[in-house]
Amino acid sequence: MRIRIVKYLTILSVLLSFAGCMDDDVLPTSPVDLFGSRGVFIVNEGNYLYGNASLSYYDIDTREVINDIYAKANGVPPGDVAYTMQIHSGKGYLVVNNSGCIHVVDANSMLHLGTIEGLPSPRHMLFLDNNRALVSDLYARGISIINTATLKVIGKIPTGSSALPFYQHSTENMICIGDKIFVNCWSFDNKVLVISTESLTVTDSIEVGIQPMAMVKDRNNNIWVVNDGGYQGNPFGWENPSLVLINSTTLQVKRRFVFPHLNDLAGPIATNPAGDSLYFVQAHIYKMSIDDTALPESYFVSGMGKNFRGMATDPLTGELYVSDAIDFMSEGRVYRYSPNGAPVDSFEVGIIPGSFCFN
Amino acid sequence: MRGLSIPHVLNMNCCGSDLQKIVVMAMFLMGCAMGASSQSALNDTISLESVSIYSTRPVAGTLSGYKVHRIDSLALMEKAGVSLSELLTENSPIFVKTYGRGATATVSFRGTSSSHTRVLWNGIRINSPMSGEVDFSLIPLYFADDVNILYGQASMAYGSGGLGGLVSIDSNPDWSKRYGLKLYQSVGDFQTYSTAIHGGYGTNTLRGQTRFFRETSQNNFTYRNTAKIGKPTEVQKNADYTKHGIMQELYFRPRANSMISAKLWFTQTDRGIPKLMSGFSHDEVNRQENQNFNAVVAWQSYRENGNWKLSSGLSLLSLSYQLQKLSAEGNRLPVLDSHSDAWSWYNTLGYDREVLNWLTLGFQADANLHWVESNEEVLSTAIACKQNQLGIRTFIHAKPMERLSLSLLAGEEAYDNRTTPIMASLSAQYLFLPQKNLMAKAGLARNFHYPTLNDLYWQPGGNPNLKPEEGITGEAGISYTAIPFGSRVNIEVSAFSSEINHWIMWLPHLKGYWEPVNIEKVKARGLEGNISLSLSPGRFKLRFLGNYSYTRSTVEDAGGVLRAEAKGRQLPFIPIHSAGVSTNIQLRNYRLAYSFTHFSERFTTTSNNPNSIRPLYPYYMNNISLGYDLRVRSSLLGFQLRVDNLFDESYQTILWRPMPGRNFSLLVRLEI
Repeated sequence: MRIRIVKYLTILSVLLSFAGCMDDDVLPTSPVDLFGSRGVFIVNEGNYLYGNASLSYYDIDTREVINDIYAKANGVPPGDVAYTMQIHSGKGYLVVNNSGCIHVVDANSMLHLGTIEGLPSPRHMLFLDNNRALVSDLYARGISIINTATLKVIGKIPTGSSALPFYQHSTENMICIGDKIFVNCWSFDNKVLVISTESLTVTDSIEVGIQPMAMVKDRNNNIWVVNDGGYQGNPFGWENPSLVLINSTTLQVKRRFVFPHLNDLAGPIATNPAGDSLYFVQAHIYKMSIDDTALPESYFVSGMGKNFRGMATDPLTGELYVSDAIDFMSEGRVYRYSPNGAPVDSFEVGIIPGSFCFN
Repeated sequence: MRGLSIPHVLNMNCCGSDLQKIVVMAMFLMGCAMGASSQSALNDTISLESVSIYSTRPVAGTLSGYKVHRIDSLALMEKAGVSLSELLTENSPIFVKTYGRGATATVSFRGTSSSHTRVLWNGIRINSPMSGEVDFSLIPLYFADDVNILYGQASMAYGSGGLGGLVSIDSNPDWSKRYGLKLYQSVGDFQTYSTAIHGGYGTNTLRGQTRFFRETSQNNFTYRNTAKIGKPTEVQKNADYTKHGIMQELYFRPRANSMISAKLWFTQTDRGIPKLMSGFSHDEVNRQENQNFNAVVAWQSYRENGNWKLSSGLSLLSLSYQLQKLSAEGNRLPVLDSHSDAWSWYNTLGYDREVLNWLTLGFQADANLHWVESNEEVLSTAIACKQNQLGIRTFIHAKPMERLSLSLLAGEEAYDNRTTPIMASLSAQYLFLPQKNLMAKAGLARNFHYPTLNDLYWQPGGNPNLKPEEGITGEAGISYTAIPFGSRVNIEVSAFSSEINHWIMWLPHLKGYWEPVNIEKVKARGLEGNISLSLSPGRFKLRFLGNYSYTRSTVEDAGGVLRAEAKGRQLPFIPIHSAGVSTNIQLRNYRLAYSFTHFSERFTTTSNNPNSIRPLYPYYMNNISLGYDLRVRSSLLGFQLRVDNLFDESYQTILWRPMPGRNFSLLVRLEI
């Protein structure tokens, strides 16, 4: 009997020895130095509420990829749904949408310098001058004004109120042309708002199409907006996706290109560095001149059933980068094409790569 | 994959309607009825009233070849005041995925997803008709007297859908005492208070039982935030919860062989949904309220010419979810304000009869009706749908030889006039050594799981043409019981292999919303081992339970919707190894209980690539409790001090959701 007790107690103590084995300090760090490297950051959203967003860096010359570069430098994850990134005055600003913050890092070492809090659901940033920047937001019905020196929110530009339906107006991309800032409102919405840079208030609005997802400007300082048309059952409506060109001076819609089918899937858009061509995605990648009056017939690069999420052009070489989320539950992929559409490279990044930032 | 569905459906990345995703999240978070459990005092004398005859213990437990485990009353009592999910984690290979202390807990059984585990409470199916899942954190053990786990095909006696298995929670009458009162009060860390009252009254033929419980917790534990620079110590916020419930049972047994029962219970849970460790959101409102109401009337009769069972039950599952963020104007404005009600009416008729002394035949028929309404205020969207279900199952149990038992079951169901494939199971049990009780079991079954109402009708994305998921399972096992020198040893080893076709997985549509698709083939296979020992050396009473399971659940053919490398990879969130040990030592009036649980690492992506995406590290958890019972005549005053997370580990079971360190609670129990 006693032997049995001893036996069981031994089993117990062996098991107890496993205790304290959970190692939650699992993010190893390694120093990062991007000085002298020309490359592009890829912001990987991760899965909503998983907190597995990440940042990848691709060196354009050596073609080397560093994945999870923020966590490697800092030992902590960026957060939940990292959305966009910008580099300004030697610092990187990483907007993390569902963590409600913007992490500020050193552009070479990726070391964390500070975090801007107090942002409900930040999306994109626009730098006004050396001290101020605007941050668009999905739910706040307004744009936050931040002081980039103190990293504090110093003001807000209301873009809606509880009097409007849904949570209008959400704000997404911001483009500054002269004394006007244009911002698209996509969520259950169809407007582009115009904000005066002097008063920092909304002065005008332009109706485009249902769900204007993204905006870019061309060399004529006109703005291209892609509307994805909504979806079946959308309480705001459902129409064919379209591409719309706005004259930034007259604030009128100059041209409207409607995609042929209700079920067409309009994706990201981008201009080339010269600003005279527009790339857009509709199952495949298409290229058109900004002076074209009709959508191109044939595609530029075949989509081959990929989930294209983000697209950007290299400001120096005009090469095209497109991200593919694949199955949304594993590493995504980025494809690099030359300006004439020839594939140059492709590499794996983090989960759901969404946007690019060239340094 | 349903087990992944909460986060997948929630993937509100950019280009879609983020709000729609939150609505679906709210619907998936919808919990169901709370199984309520009352603890029966651990008496030295066992009542010979044979409570089991009248209990709603699953019929399958007596059938040959099926694997059924009953979690004994000792374990239920140790866990009084703790939730059902902890009880399951420690006493079975079921993997419980919990979002935090008091937060949503879903299960995964034999490599399948959360909606593939059927849960019955007093005979009523409490899986949500919308999501197919059960939130185990909503089931207080105060309202449960009996918890049984039916593995794999054993669940088919109760209908389809249990591709992994079935958990049955029952409240039973205690005919041993005319009047009895049990009071429980517990106090614990993080301002956790729990009160429960259980009163029983009646005669030998008519009995009533009333139960009530209330539990609140601020849940404001401190933790080391490893997701922020400097790894600061922070206090968990907005994770508070308040749960309460009331239950009334009435039992009438006019004759020794028949009983009519009526049970009514209501539970409500209000809780905050805390942000991730990496989040900085201030001044948000993120709250969920679940309400569940159930009523069931049942009649059972055991006669020479057959046994009858008839029951009718009504169930209402309500979920309200609110998300508010700070607006540019400085006030909080709603981003999501959703509410859903799911009504179900369940009716079952069962009959079985011993036609020859070695042959029993029987059938069970169901007729159920569901109607669901859900709406969201900010987007002004609403959906409403109805579904009726009919089912019939027939079974044969035969014992053609002294040592051989066979069971055969066949059934068919119809949902809104769409009939499903035939479900069938065959199992056999052979007794090798009667004295040693060495038994071998084997079974083959074809079960299916009909798409849920969300799968079929959710707007946007629902697909009314989805095919039902089909599971073809083979299992075999050996069980051995020995009783050397007054102790009892039981060892059981079993292996299973399932092929699940048309597995439903929610994937993002390019328009941004999510939609369910049938994945062609998932293979789930594994090994389960259980050991249980009870012995009484001297004045001690020792009880040891151990379980281990090895589960490989992989996508074999996704029809191109997943990346090519996903083939052959473990499905996310299903651990390959899962083990648990639970020991109980009793000496006179003292009791010491210790439990240890382990889950191996879990992948969070379809590619399982540890070099690019971190998996969830392995989980080891130790809990201990010390109890003392003071008996005065027939009354009992008991004390129990629990220490959870004995070694004060800092850990997460869901990425970036903190868990509390070592925490204490004291339970005082009075039974009159």
